[in-house]
Amino acid sequence: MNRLRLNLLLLALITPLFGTEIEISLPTKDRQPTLYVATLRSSDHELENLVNYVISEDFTLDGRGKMFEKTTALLTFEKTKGEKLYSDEIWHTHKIDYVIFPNLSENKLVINLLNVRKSTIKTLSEIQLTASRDKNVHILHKASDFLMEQIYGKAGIASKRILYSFKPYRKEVDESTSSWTSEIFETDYLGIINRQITNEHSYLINPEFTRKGSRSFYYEFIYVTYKLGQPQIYLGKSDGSASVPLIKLCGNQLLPKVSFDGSFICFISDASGKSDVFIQKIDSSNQAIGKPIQVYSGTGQTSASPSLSPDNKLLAFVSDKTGDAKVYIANIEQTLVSRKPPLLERVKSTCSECTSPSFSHDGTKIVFSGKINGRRQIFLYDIKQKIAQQLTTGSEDKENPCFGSDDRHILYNTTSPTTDIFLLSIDQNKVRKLTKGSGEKHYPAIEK
Amino acid sequence: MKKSILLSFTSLLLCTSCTNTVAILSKKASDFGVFLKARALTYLEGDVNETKAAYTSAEFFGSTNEDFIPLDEKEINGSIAYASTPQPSFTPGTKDSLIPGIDLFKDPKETAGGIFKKIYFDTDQYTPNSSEAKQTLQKIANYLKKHPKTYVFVEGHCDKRASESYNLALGTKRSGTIRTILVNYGVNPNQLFSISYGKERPVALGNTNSDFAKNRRVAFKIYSKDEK
Repeated sequence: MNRLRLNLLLLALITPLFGTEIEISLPTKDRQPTLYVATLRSSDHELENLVNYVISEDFTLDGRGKMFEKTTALLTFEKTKGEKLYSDEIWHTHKIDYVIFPNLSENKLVINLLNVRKSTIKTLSEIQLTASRDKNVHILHKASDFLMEQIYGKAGIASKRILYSFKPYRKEVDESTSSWTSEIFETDYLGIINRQITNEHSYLINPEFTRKGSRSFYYEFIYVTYKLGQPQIYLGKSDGSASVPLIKLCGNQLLPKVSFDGSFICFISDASGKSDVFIQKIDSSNQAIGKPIQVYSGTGQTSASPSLSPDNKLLAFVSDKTGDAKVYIANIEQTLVSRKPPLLERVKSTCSECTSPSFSHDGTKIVFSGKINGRRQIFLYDIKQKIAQQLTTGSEDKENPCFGSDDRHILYNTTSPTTDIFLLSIDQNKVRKLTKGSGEKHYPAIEK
Repeated sequence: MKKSILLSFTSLLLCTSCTNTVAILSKKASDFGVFLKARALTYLEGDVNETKAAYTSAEFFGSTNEDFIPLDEKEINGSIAYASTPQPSFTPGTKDSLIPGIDLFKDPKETAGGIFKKIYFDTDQYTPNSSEAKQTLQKIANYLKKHPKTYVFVEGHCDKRASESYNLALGTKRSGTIRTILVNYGVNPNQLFSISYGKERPVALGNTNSDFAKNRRVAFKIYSKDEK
């Protein structure tokens, strides 16, 4: 503190000598901006409720801003002020930084974003809403992401779609193949959408989004289907058109994971008779290029859950090579050229039965599930510092975690007491349940 | 830890005492007397009089699988190959296959009497846990050798205690091991297809040790080309 004072004194003495202004910027902790979402009023009450709910909840779950509570006084004020709302001093009085004003006219949504401090307005205009609730939810999430980009400089993940496998609850055990079904469903950031996107009447698991950049409402994805018997990786389309096998390889193909740039799929297969790790090159139209490449084969070991780093050089996966299942990191860059097995680095952690590692989008962390005190929890591993940190507590068993594209959210499923999908906000340490009802909702994946 | 010591010790024993031995079938090798000798395994090549030592599974089984680019196997195993059985070069139910998908496979109770009994496993193990299992597998092998146009799905299942994804991988090992044992008993590998269901299809929904034991199993489904 004394040194800072001395420096400021020196600067004050020197400045007049040069006759110029020196701007001193001292590091300050960024204040979390305060946001207010004004209430949309419309004759279409269903749409009105949807707009109000989605935008407010998107910002709340994102967590980068502080949501200003809607008091009765403020709601009355909103009703009476009309257009004068934008210029009113009330926002300054309440120390609100940004106000979001949604307006709806004949299914066209206009959103104005008021920057209170700068007294500027940005308009997101003429958003055409449709008769489909699911499409409207997706459009509203996109609007939220746009607004977040304006406010924070970086979009949120509200519009990123989520896939999962859903197995209806069965009271009775039936071993016949035809009665045993599971389909792929889509949900969203808030768990509003609950759309079945496959209709195979077979057993489908392990969905994954393909190449990023899908701007359309419809998209392609991969999944594992048991429809012929042995589990195989298929490419599906969310518009319901016919799915096709993606990888030409005999035996079981399981646990596929698409690389961040969409150019590889890593998976496990017993084509050689062992549970080995493979990668398959994929082109821009999601077709396999060449043959799958075996990248890890452990004699007498069980290998599972491979996941590639963003630069496609590192592979994280699970192996029980030392007895207990642990996460390992392998540099496969040389392996792809030399065909020699990669050297493995074990991820050190206090948990046992580690499973389902998944890289962060910045490539610095791995999230995985492990057992501690009798429960499966989510752990975060810092690759540089080689430290694993327990992220979750509680009595539910948690599995299959993966990062949202902002690296601030983690998606996972519980396996007990119920099997449901959850979204964890790391910053806020808050969890949102995205699925409801009976049956098993598991193997979640989020758009990149 | 115990498992890996046993495996290492067995590997060492095989390397030093028997130059013709090429593979270890399982971690509990002694349960099944499964030291595989190259000279005893040439039936796969078709001519029992032509014998040769094989040092990798590709040499041993022939290059049955050219669907993928393999790792250098000698690098993986130090010249001793693990006796896993590569998958047949076709997937049942696909266009290239003369064998249908699983929908036309039946519960063997209907066609093969009580031969195809379920095989059970200890926790996290992928080799069977009883001498009864050995007898069952021997009977199944004899049946399949007598019925070369009968095809079998070998289904690997797990109990609910390990994670979902790990169990999917463990299921491949259980079904793959049983498939390999049947091959070693003389069954044509092209009659056998393994499937892993992980813990997705339990037969006992409870949480007792007895329920878990019932779910750690390999079950069979069969299809016979002779039956029209």
